[in-house]
Formats: sequence, C-alpha cells, structure tokens
Amino acid sequence: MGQGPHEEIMAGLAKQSMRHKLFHSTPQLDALLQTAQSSIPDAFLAYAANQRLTMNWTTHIHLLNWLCREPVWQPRMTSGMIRELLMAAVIRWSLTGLDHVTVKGIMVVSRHLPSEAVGLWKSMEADKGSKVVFLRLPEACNEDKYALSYTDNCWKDVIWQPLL
Amino acid sequence: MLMGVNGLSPLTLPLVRQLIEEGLADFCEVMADNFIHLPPEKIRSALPDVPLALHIVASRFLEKSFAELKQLAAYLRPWIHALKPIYVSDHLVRFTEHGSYLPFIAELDYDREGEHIKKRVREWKNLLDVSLLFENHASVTPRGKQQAVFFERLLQETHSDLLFDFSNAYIAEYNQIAPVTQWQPLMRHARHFHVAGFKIEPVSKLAIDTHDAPVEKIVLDRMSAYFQAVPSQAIRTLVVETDANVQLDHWRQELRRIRKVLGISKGAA
Repeated sequence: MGQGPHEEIMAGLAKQSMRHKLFHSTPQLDALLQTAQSSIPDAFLAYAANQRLTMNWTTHIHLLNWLCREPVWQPRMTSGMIRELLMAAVIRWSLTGLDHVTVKGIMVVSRHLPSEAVGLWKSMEADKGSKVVFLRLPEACNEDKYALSYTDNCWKDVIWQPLL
Repeated sequence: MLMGVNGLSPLTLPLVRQLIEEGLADFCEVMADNFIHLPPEKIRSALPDVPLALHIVASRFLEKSFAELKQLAAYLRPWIHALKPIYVSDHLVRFTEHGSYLPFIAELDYDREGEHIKKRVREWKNLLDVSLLFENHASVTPRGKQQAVFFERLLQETHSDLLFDFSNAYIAEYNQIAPVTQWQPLMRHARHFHVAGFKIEPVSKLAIDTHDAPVEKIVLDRMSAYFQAVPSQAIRTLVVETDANVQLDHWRQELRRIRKVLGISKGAA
C-alpha cells in the first residue's frame, strides 16, 4: 500500500475518478485537453465545489456552460464538442435507471446548440442497447432545458423543464 | 455449484446468451438498474428458460427519502416477483454526501451510521417483500476495518444474507484494511458468491475493484481452497463479473479457467 497521508491518497483517487467521469465519453474534448496541457479538470472542479453542484447527470452541461464562459476555451469549442458533452449528459442519465424507472427517453437542449436537441431512448428490447438521437428543433432555443418521454420512441406533448 | 455471468446491460445480453448456450454459464445475474424500464416478459424472452438472479446497484436505498423508496419498491416488487430470481442483492454503500454525488462509491461509516443502516435494511426488505443479500465492499479506507463485524450484526438482526465477493475481500486485505479471515464466520453461511478482476492503481498502489481484468490467481486459489474445505449440500452460485472490456473470447476463456480451477464441469449444477 502507498505511503503518505490517507486523505491525500483519497483526494488523488477522487480527482482521477472525476476526470475519468468527465472526459471518458468526450473524446474530442479530451484530445483538446491533451494538446493544450490545460487545467480544465482542476479549474472546473473548483468551480463545481464553489457552486455546490450536485455532480449528477447534468454535470456535463455545467461543464459545457463553464467552457463557453471561459475566454480561453470558448473560441475552441466546436459544435462536435458541444454535441459530445450533451451526449455524455444523457448517457450518464441513462445509467441511473432506478431513479426514473417509468421513463423511456430524455432529450436535452443547450443554449450553445440552439437548433438541435440531443436525446436518448432507453433500450426497447432486453438484448438491444439504448440509442442516442439528434433532433432538429422547430425554432432556435436559447436556454438549457430537458424533457422526458414516458412512451417508447414518441415525442408528443413535450413538457420542457429548466435544466439548471 | 451454478456458475453465472453478470448481465450488465442490454448491450451485453447477446454475449451472456451465447455463454449460456455453450454451457459455460448456468445463469445470468441481471443488473436491475439497466433493465428495470423493460417489462419482465421482455427479459424473459431474451433469456428463455435461463435461471436469473437480480443485482441492484444504485437503489440508493440508504439515501432516498422513505416516500421515494416506497415509490421505487412499488414498481420493483411485481417486477421482481415476475422474474422469480434465485436471489436479489443490493449494496451497502454511499453514492452521495450532502446531496452531491461522490467521485466514486464510498464505504459507509458503520459506527456512525449503523442504526440508520439497520433501520433502512428492514424497511427496504419489507417494501420489496423479498429476502435480500448484501455484498461486501472492496475497502480502500479504514472504514473497512469494521465491515465484517458490522455485517455479522446486521445480517443477524435483519435476517438478511451475505453475497460474498471473494475479490472484494481480497482487495481489502491487499489494501491492508482487513484480512479475508475476518469474514470466515459469515462465509460459512453464504451460498452466493461473486468474483472479479481488479487493478492496482499506479500512484496510490491501492487495489481497486474494476471488473475489467482476469481474476487474480491468488484469489482463484484461495476461493478454490475455501470451496474444498467447506463443502455444502445446498446449491451455491458464483458469478464471474465482467463490466468493462467485455469481449466474448476473453469471457469464455475466463469462465473455462475458473471452472477448471474449481473443478466444475460444464453445465454441472
């Protein structure tokens, strides 16, 4: 077992785990991070702690908004990276199935991708995976919001809820 | 001994089915979290005539409000009953603290939270109307020193059972938290077991329960010695857990290796 104060070891593991959670499903952003030798993880985690973020499935949307506010990162954010962050959010949501047992799908909209929604349908068969989908919005949106569907593959009577 | 594999998600279920068809696995331990949105008959039709067990990972039954728990149980209860599982298991762990998700699943403070845990276990069991198994945690912090002693009291007082994870117990020993022998009094009564691979984290040198590597030889040898020393007339189950890097060939190879070490022939229940 490693030497050193226990708290230090645990803090290191926590940071490593958080970094993995944030970037393992966002390869484009991760690549940018590698080339830029940046301090995105530390700076964002400090911001998240300061804001007392719950670090639930909306974390990637908070990260997106944070990146788009930072003068260094804002110009480097591509629509691909934004889409990737929204996908990461809905995928993370899908991993907490016991928190929304009757829900069949989710879609999220970000002010940074105003004409598109990113959604996820949970699997409809026990041997087929869930499906990430992209939907064109009828009109541009300038807020962060999400909607849930209680019916397989059906977006009817959408009720939007504020995301953050 | 029934040898099982974990049905992590709908994506890996075709592999599970293949392993069962080949006789390498006898049953599937379904991770309830990733299948709960499906009607039980869809799960049954994907795995016809296959014995099932149910593994609940993030019910967060120790953290949710009683009203939330009641609502979840009302949905889960008929779902569980329809699937007629060999067992239903859950975890005694913490996912959030002060309303915020932790970077990784944390071990409980058994001394401080003991009474709350016992109360909640009773409530959760009653709400689900099933007998529950609880899995031992792969300790990385000193909290794990109290784990076996707490489990002994808890299982006795709540009439619950142990899902003994050999690799988790070994991880706690490797991390110098608690020796595997601490579990001996409880292991004798356990009928359901888990085993999986783990990794040594390079900086801290701590063993971490990752389920993404072959089962360590030392874990396999100790598990084999245990099964030989404590023969049981009752049906036992052992699930070989694979969560990451799930590839059919690797899984197949791993099951063959474990069957060989434990002396379990294919399809021998």
